[in-house]
Amino acid sequence: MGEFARTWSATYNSVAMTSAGSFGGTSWNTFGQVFYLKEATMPAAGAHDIVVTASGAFAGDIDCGAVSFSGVDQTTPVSGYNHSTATAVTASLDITSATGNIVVSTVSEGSATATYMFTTTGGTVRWNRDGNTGAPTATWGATQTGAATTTCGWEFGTMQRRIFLPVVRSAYMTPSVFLSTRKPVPEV
Amino acid sequence: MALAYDASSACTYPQSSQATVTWSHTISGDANRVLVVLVTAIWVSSPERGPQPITA
Repeated sequence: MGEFARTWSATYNSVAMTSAGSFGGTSWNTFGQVFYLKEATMPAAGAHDIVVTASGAFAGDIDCGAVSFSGVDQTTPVSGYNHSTATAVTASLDITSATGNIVVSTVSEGSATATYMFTTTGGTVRWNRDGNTGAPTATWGATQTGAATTTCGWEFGTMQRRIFLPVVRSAYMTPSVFLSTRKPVPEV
Repeated sequence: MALAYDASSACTYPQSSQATVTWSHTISGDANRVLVVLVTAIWVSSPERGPQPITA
């Protein structure tokens, strides 16, 4: 397992977050995990630090995103999780959810070739750190309206003003896609 | 109160070869909040990255 034998934890405002699922392995040299924190231990409104920590030194690249919601069913706030890996310019993954859910997805790209990414299934991009920054990896996150089965699709490309050397890169695309669904609080 | 999106954030580059990643997220003051954090860790060797792009 090497680097991916690490265990990971997350805190918000120094309060430990709960894991909703993870995966990791050597086949794609990727690891991923979803954490959440509920209202009961949430701090007052305002800016607070999120800290993600590996159990040991990690020589790879870490991409993280966060999204917060209100009006969430506190019993089962994150009701599903799924992931996939691929080596293509597109990625798609289904997750079982429900009408009224919001589905969160993230995609990261490990060859630093992606300079933009867009959802192909109507998602709203919530964070974007593309390959133009010189970062070794790139990552995006989105939310979209849930259905009985929600498909989250992504596609990446490169900006025209960039000139790439005439070498076809092995597309080390989409090491991971995480999806989590969340139930709404019933209307009173 | 209906389910609603409030805010998002992401860690900034560089976050390579670190065991700890820290960034700030602004939480709302609304009721029944939940924060979801999604972590991806990737290890890619130099040959797999291929040549770096030339910026015009």
